[in-house]
This record gives sequence, structure tokens and C-alpha cells, in this order.
Amino acid sequence: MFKLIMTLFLVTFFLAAHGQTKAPGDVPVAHLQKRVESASDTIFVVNFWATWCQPCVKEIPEFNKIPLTYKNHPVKVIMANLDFPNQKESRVVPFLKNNIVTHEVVMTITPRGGEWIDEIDSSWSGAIPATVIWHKGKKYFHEGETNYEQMKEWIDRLL
Amino acid sequence: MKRLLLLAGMLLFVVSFTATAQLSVGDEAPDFKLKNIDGQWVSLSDYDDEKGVIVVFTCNHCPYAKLYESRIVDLQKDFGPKGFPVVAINPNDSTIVAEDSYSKMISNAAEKGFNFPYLLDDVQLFKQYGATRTPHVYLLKNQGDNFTVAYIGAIDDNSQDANDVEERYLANAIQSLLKGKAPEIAETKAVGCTIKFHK
Repeated sequence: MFKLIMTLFLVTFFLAAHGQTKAPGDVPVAHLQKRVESASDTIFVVNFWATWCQPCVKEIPEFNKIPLTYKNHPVKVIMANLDFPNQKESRVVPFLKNNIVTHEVVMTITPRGGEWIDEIDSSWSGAIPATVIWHKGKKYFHEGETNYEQMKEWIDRLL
Repeated sequence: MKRLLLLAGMLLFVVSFTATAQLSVGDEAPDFKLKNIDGQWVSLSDYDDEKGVIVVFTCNHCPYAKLYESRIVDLQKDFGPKGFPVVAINPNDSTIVAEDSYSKMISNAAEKGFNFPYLLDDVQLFKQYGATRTPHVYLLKNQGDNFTVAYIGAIDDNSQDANDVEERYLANAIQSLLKGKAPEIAETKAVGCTIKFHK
């Protein structure tokens, strides 16, 4: 019995101490947008980030704090990575192994030029980090760093 | 009490307005006086004899800024002699990002062979321009007694690979000005690093 508990403990510890080992999927930004603009009850939080972006990496723990439900609404957090797609294996996969990112990570595939930035939000200049919260067709956008407390306020405004 | 509330409301409006003040295409570009990496002061008015100025808010540490360093050197080579010299401005506070300090600007410029002034913005000039990221370009046109903004945005449409650029937004805008026309595309966006400053 002790052995079993010890094994379970070690496995849990191992899983907690190590990040994601699965490579994130490629998602065209237009698909991502379609997914989060749904009329469902889900609160979607999308964080645009990259491994090279210091403030983005710093604020990942704030996103990890976001629970799977908030005030009886399901919450889906998507960590939309903006490293270059051909750097997935060399940069993003190792980063996810060495850092705790609890929510779903996707490689955001963006078209040439910057028109897609306007599609996400016309007030976004393209600087990251940037965070968008969608709920039932309503949206809150923020360019720059954030934290969990701030995001709770933004979600409350949309509910 | 009502008057006080009204006053507070107005004040709030003014504050929020100035916080988001941003130059648009056609606006007059504010003059500046910033320290160059050679220790000399550089002002926009120093360029009165030029046709315009390429103002680039950029920095040392941002990977997207790094990807454009050699392209900015090429812009100076191509367009400096045609009356559109480059002026690069680092808006980042080095107490937040040490790599963007004045001394590191000097060494980075030497290493990358910068052929243009590289100024330290320690007065938050970037706010007057409305720059929010690095790199962020403002193409200015000399109107005789002032400079106006002719183009705002990205240098081209491929940050990662200079050899796979299809649209040279900034170069095209300058070519238009050289022909006496307004740029066809006057505003673009691109991914970049936020400007690091104490609020």
C-alpha cells in the first residue's frame, strides 16, 4: 500500500514539475477567431504570446490561475503562441517542457502582412502580450501585461 | 457637488484622451531633441533640408527589432541620399530592460554597423507619436515649415525573412512621396514588442 501511494505521489510530482510534452497544434488565426466568437456559454480567454517576449513569459502564471469555471460559466483559456511556425520544435516545444503552462497552447498561423491584427481588434497595434476575452459575442481587448485580478474584472464586465 | 462631479468627469476625459493620443497620417509630427549615441543632440528640425525623415522606434533587445536591423541599414543606404534619412529612437527604459541602456545602444550600433543616428528617448517622446511597439515606423514628409506623417506601421510584410518579402510598405510609401504622390498604403500593423516604460 505504501509503495502504491509513494508511486502515485511520485507520478503526480513528476507531472506537476514538468510541463507539456505534446507539441502544440497549428491553428490559423481565422479559425481561432471563429472558435472563440461562438455564442456558447463559454468564456474564452485568448493570450497572444511568444517564447521570446519577456513580459509574456512573466505573466504566464497569471493565466495558469484562471479556473475551468467562473461564476457557473465554463472557461476556456487558449495560449495563442506567436513564435514563427518553423521554430515550433526548436523553441516552443522545449519551452513547454521546461515551463508550466496549464492551459491549451496553439501555434497561431498568421497570414502575410498585419491585417489579421485588425481582425482580432482594431485597437491592437500588434505588440505582445495581448489578451482578448470573448463571451457571447461581447469582447474585451487589452494590449500589454495583465494579471489574474484584472482579468476577473474584465470577465465580470462581460457577464 | 454636481459641478465637482462634472469637473472630475471632464478631467477624466482629458486624461484618458491624452493617454491614447496618437498621431494619424496627415498630422504634424512633434519636434524632439534627443541624445544620439555619439553624445550629440539630434532634433527633427535638423532635417529641414531633407524631403522627409524615416523615424523608427526600435531597440536592442526585441527579437523583432533585431530582425529588422540590417534592413534599416539598407533603408538608410537606399533612401538617405534621396532625401529620406533614417532616425532610430530607442523608447525603452533601461531600468526595465538592461539590454536597452545607452551604453548598449552604442555597442549594438557599432556591432550592426548602424549608418544613422540612434537616439535615446528618455522623455517618452514615443507617447506623443503614439508608438506602442518596436519596431514602429513613422515616415515624415517635409512640408516646408513643418513635418507631417505620411505613413505609419511596419517596414514590410515579412518580419522573419527579408528574402521573402512581397510588399515593402515603407519603401513603397517613400517611392510615392518621391513621385509627389500620397502613399497607397498609409498604415499597416505588425507583431512587435511592447514599449517598456514606467507608467
